[in-house]
Amino acid sequence: MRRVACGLVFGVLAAPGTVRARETVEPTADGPAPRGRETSLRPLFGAELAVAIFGSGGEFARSLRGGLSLGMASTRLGFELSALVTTFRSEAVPSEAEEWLVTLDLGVKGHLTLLGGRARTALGLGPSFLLRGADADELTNAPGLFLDIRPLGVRFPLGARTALVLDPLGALIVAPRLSATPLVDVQFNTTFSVEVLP
Amino acid sequence: MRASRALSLPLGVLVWCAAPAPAEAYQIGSSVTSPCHEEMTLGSLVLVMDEGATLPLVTPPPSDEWLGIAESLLVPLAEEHPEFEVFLDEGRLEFLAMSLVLGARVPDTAGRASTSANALRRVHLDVSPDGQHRHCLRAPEDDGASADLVALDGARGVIAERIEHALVAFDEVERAPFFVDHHGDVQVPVSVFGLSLGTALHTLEDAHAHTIRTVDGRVVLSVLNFSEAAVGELDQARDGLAHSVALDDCRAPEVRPLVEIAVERGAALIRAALEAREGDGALLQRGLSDCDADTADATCGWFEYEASCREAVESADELEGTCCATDSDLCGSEWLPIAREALSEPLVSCAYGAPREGGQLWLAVLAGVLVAAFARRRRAVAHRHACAGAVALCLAAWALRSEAAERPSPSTDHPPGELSLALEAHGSLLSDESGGSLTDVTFGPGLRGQMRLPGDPRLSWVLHVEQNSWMAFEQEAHLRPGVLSLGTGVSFDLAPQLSTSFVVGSSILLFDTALASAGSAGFFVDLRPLTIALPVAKNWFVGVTPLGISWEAPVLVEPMISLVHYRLTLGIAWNSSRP
Repeated sequence: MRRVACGLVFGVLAAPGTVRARETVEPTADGPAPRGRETSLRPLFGAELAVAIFGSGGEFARSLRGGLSLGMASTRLGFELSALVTTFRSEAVPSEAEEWLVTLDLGVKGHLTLLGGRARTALGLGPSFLLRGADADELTNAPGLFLDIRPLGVRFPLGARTALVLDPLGALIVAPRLSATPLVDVQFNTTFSVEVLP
Repeated sequence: MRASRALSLPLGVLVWCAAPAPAEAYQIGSSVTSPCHEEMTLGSLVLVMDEGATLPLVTPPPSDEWLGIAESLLVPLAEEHPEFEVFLDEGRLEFLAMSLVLGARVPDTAGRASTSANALRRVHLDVSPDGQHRHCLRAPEDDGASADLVALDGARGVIAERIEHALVAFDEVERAPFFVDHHGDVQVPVSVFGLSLGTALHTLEDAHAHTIRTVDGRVVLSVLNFSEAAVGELDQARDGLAHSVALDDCRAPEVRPLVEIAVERGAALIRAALEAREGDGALLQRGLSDCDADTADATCGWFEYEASCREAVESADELEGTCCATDSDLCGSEWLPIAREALSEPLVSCAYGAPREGGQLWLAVLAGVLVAAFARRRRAVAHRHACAGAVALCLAAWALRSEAAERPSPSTDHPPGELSLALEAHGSLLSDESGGSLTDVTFGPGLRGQMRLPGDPRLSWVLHVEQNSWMAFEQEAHLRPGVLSLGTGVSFDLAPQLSTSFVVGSSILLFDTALASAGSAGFFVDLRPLTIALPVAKNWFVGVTPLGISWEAPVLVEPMISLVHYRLTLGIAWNSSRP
């Protein structure tokens, strides 16, 4: 796991800084982007917090997810490497005891800005490591995967370099165990993110 | 298009994994597995009745609650096996048969939906000796030469304990959990005797699927191992032979002889329980003991281990050179090659039970279209939390509205009275219920009209009607007409092309469930946090709500139907004045 994390950091540091986006002028919520500044790829730092406000089974706040990301973004496209910790409630039977499981999700996230910067759609994918599971999970340590779909979010620019993004509903599939009896959890989260373009 | 193709692979894999993970035992009935335990259990009961035995019939509760569930379980079985129709003729007998069937399912489902993969993980990954021995399997610590004997003794203990429990309260009625399509987890009245005897029969039946036996199927040569095989940590010399999916399929012709022996022995177990109720435990003791040399019928030796193997273990703690050595061909047992056709191993496909004929196709369909069942639990709490969630989302919408209000009005082109009419299609695929199925397939058409209100041009009045079909999955796969919902509410333009809407109204059940009648009416809520409108022609738009929440509750009396769906909605809309 340490090697994977190091690889992610190295990947970000070694990301090609010379790549340039198409030389187009994209309108933003605050007006057209200045030519030659906003159209090139720029470093992007992000932080996010997601909560499943209520689950369809009646659970309130049955999952929490938070973490950091860093990558490169233009006015239309962005790619980030992310590290997120997800904790979610899982009900075990026959005891019906509730367990809080924890996963570390390391992934790649891509996002596309829509409607002149007012909206955003994003997709994340990567390996998922079970940090805390049921007793029986200790029998195997193989990672699974996660898929994070945020079809439509709203961006609120907070100045020239910062934006707040609200994804009212996104679908997250966390599957830290795919072998034996699989552990697959589906969550519908409301996500608050901050984007910083230094 | 490319992106959607890229998405389909991981989604397909995940949903394949989310599809029901059948138990590590003879299958239980679902839309992708055969009702093996149910058929074998009722088959044993028929044999006992044919002999004229007096059954301990308990008067069922006067409510019809149990009857709907009994018929949903027994009628499909009777359609395939006419000899089971006798159970539908008399209420007390039907109650006993239902209790037995529920008991036979309990070790695999704990009374929950067979599609509740996450909730049932503990059942399937219960590596404790008791958890494995109740399926007549080796536990992880059952290693070495004596492991088979330990596992068989464990299975004997499970049966003795269940029969003792059955007899202590044989004329009592208790409530047991059972998943009913659309209603979710329901507490069903059952006969304690029937439920406990059913769980004991499950163990006895599994003893014939989870062991390699002599050619005549009567004596055990080796007990199989699921818990370590399933995680890829099986060392055959230490842990024994891997559990076999092939032996679990009771409808496969090559394993029918074992099934028939199990049914005969199940009948002997029922007779033994009836005798024990009269104070004579000799028959039960005989069944749990090895047969005498000159009598080998269904009444004895249910867990008998091959004599020379037992002797080798007891004298030298060694199986080398016997018919039970796992590195041998088990003295030519014909069941070994069958078992080896499909040994359990870690699989990304995640399914350990062999689906019945056509079932593999169903699984493929499941992976493609995400067929669902949906469990509902703790409804009072659900409603409280759902209300809290709705309030939170409304606050978020209010924040969006406040933010939008600071912008120049995007809707000055839209006069009051402007009309729009949308024809929609909606569908849900996945459920986030931790204790329920991960899949939730519903879909249907809708019609939505909007009229812009005077005062604030961003506000519109909404009238909404829709039909939503539900997929049932627990017993057999069925598409149900679902509900017809009618509601009214408001839509608010957050920005050009972006809006949010809220609709509340009434929902009417369109079909008879096991526990409710068509025509029952409740409420309906539709919340669309963000809808994007994409112009396609003059006055025509495509509307996309990538994720919205729909709450349908057409039955408000217990056992309720209250379903929350996360939906994708697509629509084509005509607008009276939008350029």
